[in-house]
Amino acid sequence: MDVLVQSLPYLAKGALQTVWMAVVAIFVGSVAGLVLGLAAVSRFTALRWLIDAYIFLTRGIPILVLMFITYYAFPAMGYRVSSYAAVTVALALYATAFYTDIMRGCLQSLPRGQTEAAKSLGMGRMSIIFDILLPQAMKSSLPPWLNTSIVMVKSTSYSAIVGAWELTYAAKEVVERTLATFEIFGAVMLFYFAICYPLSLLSTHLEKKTAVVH
Amino acid sequence: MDWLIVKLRLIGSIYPQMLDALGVTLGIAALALPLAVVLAAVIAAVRLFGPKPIAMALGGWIELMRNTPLLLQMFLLYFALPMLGWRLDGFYCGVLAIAFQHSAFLAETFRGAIETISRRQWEAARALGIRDSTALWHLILPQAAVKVAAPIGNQLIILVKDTSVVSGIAVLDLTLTGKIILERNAASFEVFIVVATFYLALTVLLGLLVRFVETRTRAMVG
Repeated sequence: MDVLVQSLPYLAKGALQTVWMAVVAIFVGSVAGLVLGLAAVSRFTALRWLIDAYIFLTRGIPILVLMFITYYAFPAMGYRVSSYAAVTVALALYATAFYTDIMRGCLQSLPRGQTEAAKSLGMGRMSIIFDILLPQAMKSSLPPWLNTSIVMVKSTSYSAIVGAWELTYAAKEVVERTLATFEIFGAVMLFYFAICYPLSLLSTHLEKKTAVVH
Repeated sequence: MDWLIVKLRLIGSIYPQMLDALGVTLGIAALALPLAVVLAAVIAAVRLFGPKPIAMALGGWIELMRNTPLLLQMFLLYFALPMLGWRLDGFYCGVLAIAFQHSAFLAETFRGAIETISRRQWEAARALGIRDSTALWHLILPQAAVKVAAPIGNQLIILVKDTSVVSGIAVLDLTLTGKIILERNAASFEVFIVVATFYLALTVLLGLLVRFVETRTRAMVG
């Protein structure tokens, strides 16, 4: 227990790093996912194909492999990028693919009749998208958005394999020094749990709420 | 064109190693999936029909598994078990950790599948004088099995991708092999493009299989 108390400040720093990486990845991924999700249901066929290809490629490989690609690709292309930045870019790319897929699915699941009704009322394209379709799609995308965010938080831990310092990396360092395996890994697991569990409760709650409406 | 020849030669030279690594990745997935399905079935059964305290404890276990990173679960098995005098090979630690986490996700799917069919059919079976156990084995479970075929397939795709995490506990799977080749040969990130194509090929093949099973089972449900 002493070991845990002593290493708490160090682990807290790692936890901060983890939260920071997750927040950046989720934020960038959500914004990009929203834009690309709209583009994926647009009239531009080439754009739709590109997005399809992006989602297919990104979702088809493990996030750890994507992290290794960005980690080694930036230096190979002559950019000096910190290990955090490389890993966070991979997380954001991955999040973008998932959020885009979710947004596209939610937009597509809206009945066509709504668009037709809005058109017959003389509403403009922009107005139909932003006043009618998007608010509904964003609402129904909330549970899967939360579930993906949980995956993103958990995935930050893989940067310990690639070599970017965060909570899991810090935990491994402390364990190697102190051999307090159970205490340290257990405490760190609880930290992730404390972030992810409320999100998953909220997701189930929202899922049930929307299920009643339909 | 020279660089292309160099890259192709590199890719050719790493192929034998990559094939060995592919075997490890496939081995982990092939052991972890059946284990996860069996565990999930047991967990779902106990949560539905077992004694309340155990059912609740399993509920807690599921939430813990679902809301903590797979890598940490592996670390606990790999680094903590030896302290209890249990030394388990990294390969099996990976299999166990992956099976535990995926069984938690699958158990909820199984439970959901059984809960959505049961009520009226249970009542109908009772009204016909069929015993509960007979109704479960001959009426409910066959329908549930058809329902969960596609979710199991989708879970398998995630599972195959999750096997890459065993790199964190020094198991020479596709991902870690890629890293070692890259560091030893001063090769560039192209090695990981090759690694990525291996995973992509696996997930695409499994995706096709899942879609095939999905259409078949949908036809069975009608």
